[in-house]
Amino acid sequence: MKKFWKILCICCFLAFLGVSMAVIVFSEKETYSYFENRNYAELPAYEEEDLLSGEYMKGVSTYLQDHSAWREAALRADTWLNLHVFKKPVVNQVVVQEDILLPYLPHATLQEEKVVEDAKKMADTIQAAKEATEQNGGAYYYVTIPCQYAYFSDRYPNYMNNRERLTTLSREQLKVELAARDVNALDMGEVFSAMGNPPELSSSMDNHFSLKGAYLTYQEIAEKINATSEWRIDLPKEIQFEELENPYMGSRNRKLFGMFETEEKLFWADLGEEIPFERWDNGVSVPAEVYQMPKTSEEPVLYEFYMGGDIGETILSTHRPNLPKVLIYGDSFTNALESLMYYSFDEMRSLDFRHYQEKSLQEYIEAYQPDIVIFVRDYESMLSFDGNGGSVSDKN
Amino acid sequence: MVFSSIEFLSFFLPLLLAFYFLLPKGWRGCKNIVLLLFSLIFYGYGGVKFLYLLFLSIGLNYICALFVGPERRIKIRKTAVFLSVLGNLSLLFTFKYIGFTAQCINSLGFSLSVPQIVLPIGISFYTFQGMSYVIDVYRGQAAAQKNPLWVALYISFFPQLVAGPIVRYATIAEEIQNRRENLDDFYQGMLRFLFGFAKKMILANSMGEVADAIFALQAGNISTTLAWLGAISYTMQIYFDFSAYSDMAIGLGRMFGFHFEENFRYPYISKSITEFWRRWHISLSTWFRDYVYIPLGGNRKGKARHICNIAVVWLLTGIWHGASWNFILWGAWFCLLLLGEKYLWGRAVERLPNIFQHIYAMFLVVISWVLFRCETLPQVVDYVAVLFGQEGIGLYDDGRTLYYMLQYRWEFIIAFLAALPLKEWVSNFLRKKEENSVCCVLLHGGGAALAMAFFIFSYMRLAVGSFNPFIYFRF
Repeated sequence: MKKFWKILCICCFLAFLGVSMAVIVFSEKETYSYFENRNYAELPAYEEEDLLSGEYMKGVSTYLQDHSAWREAALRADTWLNLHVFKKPVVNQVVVQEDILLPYLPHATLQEEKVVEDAKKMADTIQAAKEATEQNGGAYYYVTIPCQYAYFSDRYPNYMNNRERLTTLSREQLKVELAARDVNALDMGEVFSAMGNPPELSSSMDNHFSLKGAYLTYQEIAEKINATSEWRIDLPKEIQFEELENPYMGSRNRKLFGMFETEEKLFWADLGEEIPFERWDNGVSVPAEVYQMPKTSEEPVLYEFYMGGDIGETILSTHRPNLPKVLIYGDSFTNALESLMYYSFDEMRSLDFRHYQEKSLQEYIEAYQPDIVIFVRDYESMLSFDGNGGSVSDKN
Repeated sequence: MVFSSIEFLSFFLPLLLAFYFLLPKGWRGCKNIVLLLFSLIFYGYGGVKFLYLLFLSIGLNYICALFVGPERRIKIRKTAVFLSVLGNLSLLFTFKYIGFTAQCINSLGFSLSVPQIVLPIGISFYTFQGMSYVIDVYRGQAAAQKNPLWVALYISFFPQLVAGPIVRYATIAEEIQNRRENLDDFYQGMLRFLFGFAKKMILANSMGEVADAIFALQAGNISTTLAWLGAISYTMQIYFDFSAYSDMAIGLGRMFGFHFEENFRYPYISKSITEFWRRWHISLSTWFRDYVYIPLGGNRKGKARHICNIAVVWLLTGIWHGASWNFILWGAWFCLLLLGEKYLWGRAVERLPNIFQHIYAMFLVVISWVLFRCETLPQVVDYVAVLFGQEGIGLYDDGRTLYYMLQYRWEFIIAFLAALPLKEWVSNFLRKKEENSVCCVLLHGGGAALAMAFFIFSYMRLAVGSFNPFIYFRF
């Protein structure tokens, strides 16, 4: 019996080793991990020098790690155990609370002097964009929006960092600096806060605001433009928000393989009237849609539902020359806004300098001559000089 | 290559087992050649260029050993053993200490260029093995190996090549040529490997995440509680990391019929520092005892000489771990503690209740790992100051301590339990009750079932994880 048991154990172990090798060798290699939202490592190109130094095999190790046998099953099992058995406060960099998923923010010491200095620099950058806009006959607006961790900062356990002090100081400093430079600035945090931060304006599963939060932002932008420029921006009179029945994954629940139970849904807007338009993404004509509708009602949806996600350059032309031309630039918060705002403009162009490389902002404004330029930032990227926060004359 | 990697588990090990065990039993030479080739692949995986150094070490020790046997004239023997020690230490000095030496000289006002030399993996281990081979032959404890391939196999045998344990030639000389693989050894070796793998993946890596995060902070920004948590986490990490590697090495060796000596015997249950060093990295401490301490005269030549010998051994032990003042300080720290226990407070400690003896030993051990973990002397000073409430942001912080304790609570609990000889206690208990059928099943099958379950869980962590460093690779 003892011998049989030993042989059985050895066979199981050897079978595991052998099958894991066979799975890696013979399985079809995926190139993209949906749940991790990243590309898998590729087999490195062979170089003799790299083989000698060990770099080549390092690349092979990374490749094998990404293509190890039963990797996704292991990731799912690990996530499930951490969520439901070990009940870890943070799983896959997500802070798991009863009804909300928040990003894990490592503790960091607040460097006040750096924030003050960065706010000045960022205000200078924004001022340069404003001047470029005005020199070309347009009006410039800066809009900042609370990202999820800032909107729900009180939902973090008290032993975790919620960056509240950093966020507050950054907002205050930038507000002062922008006012000193006479920039039309709109802080949606103040608007949401005055309303008591209703939960439905932000997502509990994702970094972004909800479509209702985006619409409120749209309204505030329109009011600001109407109050400070010659333009009159009209809003849809009979807008209705329709719930999408598909399960909403959100970027946080996506990291948890959709294992967190949520009732949250995405919305799309019925603007109450048909606005025909044409759309081009990165210069290529695409179907005239602002929502990436899922193929089935079971398919989980992400924030990419709005405008199809982050795209370098998007042009929506409604062919109503009496309305202004708008250029919106910023990170993914622009997507939900754009799905609504095209209503008010002859042409809406959107740039995301994390992906767009052809021209600098200054060059683009000079070539396009927009009537209105809107820079959309969220609290996390407010003082970041990467991507859309870069200099007005820099190409990505 | 490391044991806890996909390339090892899913390619290297199954292919080696297949090639090795498919060869007929009597083909000992071929089996050894398979082991040698795979060992070279194992080492070359980290950089083929480092193989040249390994070959140089093998060649040097093989040739020197041929001239140190008792059949040679004493002058030739002494010259050969001197050349071997000189050659091995020169290799070690060139690749490990030359940069540090240049920095030390420059700190005296000179301006030597500091060479940037990549430390070859495992050089400290295989040079010590090489020296022990030649010295053992010189002392007549083993016969010189005529076949260079078998010397190569001894020095480069993959389980212990890069992170020990330091295996004496005499321990496995016979087994290189005349071992017998059998089912029981394979089974026991496999279980040992699986438990070692689990220790590494579940405990060492988790403790390492906590320790790395805390030690990466500026001492001025951490609280006393967080500093202690970091020190305790590192204490756990280094034990589970290194002992896991030893477990896997011993287990793998046994699967192929080799029986290595134990390297750890639950060091954290020690009641004194003297006992701790009888339980920690046994292969290194016995190496220094047999090849440095005893040849220097040990404790047989009076108190002053004994103190001097201890100091030499601990200076060398410290610097063996790394070319930095931290490690020298770490060695000096243990030197003082061991001498203190021998000549000053050892008796007093022995009279304390057991629990206080444990607390005494572990307190000093935790402090020693802070010296070991910090990267510079100023960091040591700052960190130790925070531990004793002299710097930092006070006793408690903004929640970081609580976060780490909650996030890693299961790992901490398991780590504390796994540092105890639970396995021995449970086995003894079950053995006493073996007539009971449940106890009998648990005694003979429980370990394997647990090992398999741990292995599945550990493989899951391996497939998932990106945090997977082995600490002892840098030595």
